[in-house]
Amino acid sequence: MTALAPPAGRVRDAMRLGLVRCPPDASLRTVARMLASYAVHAVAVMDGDDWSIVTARDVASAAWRDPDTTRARELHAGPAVTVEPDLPLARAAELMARDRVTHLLVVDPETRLPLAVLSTLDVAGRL
Amino acid sequence: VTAAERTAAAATTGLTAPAETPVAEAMSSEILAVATGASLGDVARTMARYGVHGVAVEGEPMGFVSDLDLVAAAADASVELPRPAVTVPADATLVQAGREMGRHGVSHLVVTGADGRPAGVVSALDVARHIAFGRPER
Repeated sequence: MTALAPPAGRVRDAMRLGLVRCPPDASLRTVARMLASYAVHAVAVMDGDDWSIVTARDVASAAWRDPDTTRARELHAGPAVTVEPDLPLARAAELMARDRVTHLLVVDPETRLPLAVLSTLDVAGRL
Repeated sequence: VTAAERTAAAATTGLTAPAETPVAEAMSSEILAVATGASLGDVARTMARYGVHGVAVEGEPMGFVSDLDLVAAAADASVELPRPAVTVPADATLVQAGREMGRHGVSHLVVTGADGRPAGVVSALDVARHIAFGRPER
């Protein structure tokens, strides 16, 4: 297939403000329900100042586990990859490709608080 | 989510738990596919227009491009697409499908029928729906 130019613009141009989030002790069933009800592919898990992102893939691959005793914190290892709104989208695309992650957490450069989630679909929409 | 809400949701949706649900029951039997000669730009526009995270590419075997594949190709011109679709038989359970998604790092599987031909697509969100609302048959 023909090559594709890197996306133009910055993270702020493609991100969608707001995010669906849950506490780390939310059950697998609750997380699955949030994904299904909001038709989103990622839920941000807030554990104090630590944020991670649980994706629909993480949830699906845990389908063998008890949905009511398995917790959100057990579904995904490691912190979310964070970016700032001014970062060029091409750089965000490189981070997604490098870490094989479909969702980046967009944080405020001053407060470090999450503003939005940037998904691969958001980036694909700018290609 | 209370037990009563769960029971009510299951009664409404009639969904069964992932371990008891064949992929055929949860999949979408429409495969959104582009022609073999389509460009990656065509794939990107198809994804954006339909709001989907993956598009199949016609051929033998069937190819697949996810939004992550597309972004990776834009970041690195040496990435070759499409890649062969990861497949799962229609009579596998959603638990097995979820395991395949985890193992291959993908969110979509092409479902193959008894004749081995593509019969649909099952996504991680389809599995999540059954985890959320599925009622065990006891």
